[in-house]
Amino acid sequence: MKKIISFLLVGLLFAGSNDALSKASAAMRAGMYKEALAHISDAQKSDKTNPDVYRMKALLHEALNEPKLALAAWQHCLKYSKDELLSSEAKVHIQSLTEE
Amino acid sequence: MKKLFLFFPILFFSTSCYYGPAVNESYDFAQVGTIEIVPVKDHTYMTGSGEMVKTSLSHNFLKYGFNVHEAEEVGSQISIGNGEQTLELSCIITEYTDAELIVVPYRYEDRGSTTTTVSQSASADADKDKSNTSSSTTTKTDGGAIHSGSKVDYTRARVGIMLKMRDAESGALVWSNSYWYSGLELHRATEICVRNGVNQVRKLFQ
Repeated sequence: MKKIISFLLVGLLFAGSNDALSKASAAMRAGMYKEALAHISDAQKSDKTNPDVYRMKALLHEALNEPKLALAAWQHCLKYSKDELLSSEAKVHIQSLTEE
Repeated sequence: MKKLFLFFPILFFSTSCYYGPAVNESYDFAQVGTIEIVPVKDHTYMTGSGEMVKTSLSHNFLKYGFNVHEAEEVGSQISIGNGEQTLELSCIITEYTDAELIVVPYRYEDRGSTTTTVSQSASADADKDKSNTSSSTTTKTDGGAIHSGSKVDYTRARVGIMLKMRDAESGALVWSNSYWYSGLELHRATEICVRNGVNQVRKLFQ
């Protein structure tokens, strides 16, 4: 007679970041900025150096009147951006938020 | 010689990254008493944008502590000081986009998974008064992958203006600069864009 005891340990360290970003995009369209930010935080767990995601985050913080968080997000955007236009946009926002 | 090699790159970067206003250095801004805001024309694609920007200009001057007088015949007048000169502030809307599509490319990293299966078996033989147990562990690792090339999109607003001031009497252009700002909402982008301009104008009179 044999007894077999099996248990399965599955550690999914990451799953579904594209889904998180799609949800963030949908929430933005619906004007649900707080919800969009929560989804962006999930998406950033797997793509921490994406300047476009930081721009999304910064614009959301600005819309929610959170200038300090917006400034931090724009600074990260500038740090990781290799695109001239995006860097220029980040600089304009950083300057404006610093003077505020 | 080494200093010369360092000087030119520094000069190049400092001038290419600087978007300051153009100012007539010989003009005495201390003699200015009033700024008249010239009515702003609508942007081609947005009816009413001119009025929005003009109202925002008056609002921001008021917010910075200036006296604003609005009369139907002359438009908005901003009291600056006790001087005799009058400056005309005109604004051109260079960009007024309500819904610019922004595409966000992204990659996501599937860091994989680890599955551990533990099997145990036990057998007891009554006749031989003997029992056996055995166990085995199997670990299966999925290395994961980096997926890229996907994208999502959203819309944002973008506002651009060009401000210039000329002396009402002589017609001399004394100051000009351009500004732009982006945001999720058009009214907010307009407000901040104009505020940045007015903030720089007020520094001339401090």
